[in-house]
Amino acid sequence: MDGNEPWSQQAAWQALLALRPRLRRFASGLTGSLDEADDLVQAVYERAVERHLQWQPGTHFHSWVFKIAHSMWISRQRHASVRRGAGDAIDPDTLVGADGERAAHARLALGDMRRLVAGLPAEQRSALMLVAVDGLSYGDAAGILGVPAGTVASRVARARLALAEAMEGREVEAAPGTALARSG
Amino acid sequence: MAAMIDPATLVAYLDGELGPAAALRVEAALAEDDGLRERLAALRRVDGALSAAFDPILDTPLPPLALVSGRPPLAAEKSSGAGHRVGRMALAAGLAGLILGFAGGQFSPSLWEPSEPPGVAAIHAQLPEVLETQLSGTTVAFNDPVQGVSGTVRPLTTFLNADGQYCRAFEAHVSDLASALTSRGVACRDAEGRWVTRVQVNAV
Repeated sequence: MDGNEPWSQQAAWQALLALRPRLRRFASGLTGSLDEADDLVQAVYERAVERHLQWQPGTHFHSWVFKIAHSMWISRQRHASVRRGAGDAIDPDTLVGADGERAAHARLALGDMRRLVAGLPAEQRSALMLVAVDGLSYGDAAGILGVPAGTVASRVARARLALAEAMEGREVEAAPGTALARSG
Repeated sequence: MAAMIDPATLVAYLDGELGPAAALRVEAALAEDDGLRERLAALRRVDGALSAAFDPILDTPLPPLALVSGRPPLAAEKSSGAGHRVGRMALAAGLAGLILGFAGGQFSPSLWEPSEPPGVAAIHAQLPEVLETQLSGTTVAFNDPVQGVSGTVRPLTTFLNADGQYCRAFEAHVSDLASALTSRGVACRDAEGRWVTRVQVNAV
């Protein structure tokens, strides 16, 4: 902060807004529900503003924001492990739109995959979302999660192998639509 | 015979995290081993399925950002769902009466200004971006050289109306050399993402 050029609040705010879709995707993987993801993203923005957007120029802005999101999710889980409903899984309708047949196919395929991800242990889920979905390096993901890069590597590997095995069993997404077209 | 490639190494190869020598070893093994190639393909299918499942979120309309100040932290942790949040925020807002009247459909149309005072167009030009991107309570200053006015717009609160649209109450001040105007209102975002002003009260 001292001596550095003043980091414009407006520029920080714009950067934060630009991150919203990615942050929301990350949060939906963590929480398993778009509603909870939006709630978490909202809370992240409030926290970022409370901290007066105290991001240090020169560090990864993206990492700073995702780190806030991840730590808030961890603490929410601790507080809210009581109320864990099965009825609030992501409704793929809100993602793909109600577009008749295509939506019906997408519903099954997307829903299956999200359920599989939601079934992974929490620490594998976060590593997987950062590396396989957001495309971060093990090192960047490690910075966000606060664990060594080797730990990220093994979590991502276990998560992918578990998903590969589950998909093998169910043929999720292997040939999108074809199996469904016959039954529908 | 090719070197044994363990699953973790294969995943690291997929992620581009192996050093050049290790990557070459994996590629040599892949060239000889059908089973290994199939395992790599299975991992790639996982990533494809993950993208198909999560990437549509990037293109899904975002809810507007809601109230920042005056949110009770404990209640916020315990409640979930937009309905609770909306009720709390509507009460928190200074415009609670206006919002409730509006939400109940009892707002009198006679409060509409019959003709627009100067400056109202300038406010309307600012509203879509401010309502879409700014947290409640944030004052945004603007300068409109076309209308020859400057002023501020501030979203006050966010709620869902009976049609499931996101609505936001706002307050705006606008002035030119000769006059000043204060405007309060509610705008709702329609299915196409346009912010439509539903209620607006202007005081010159």
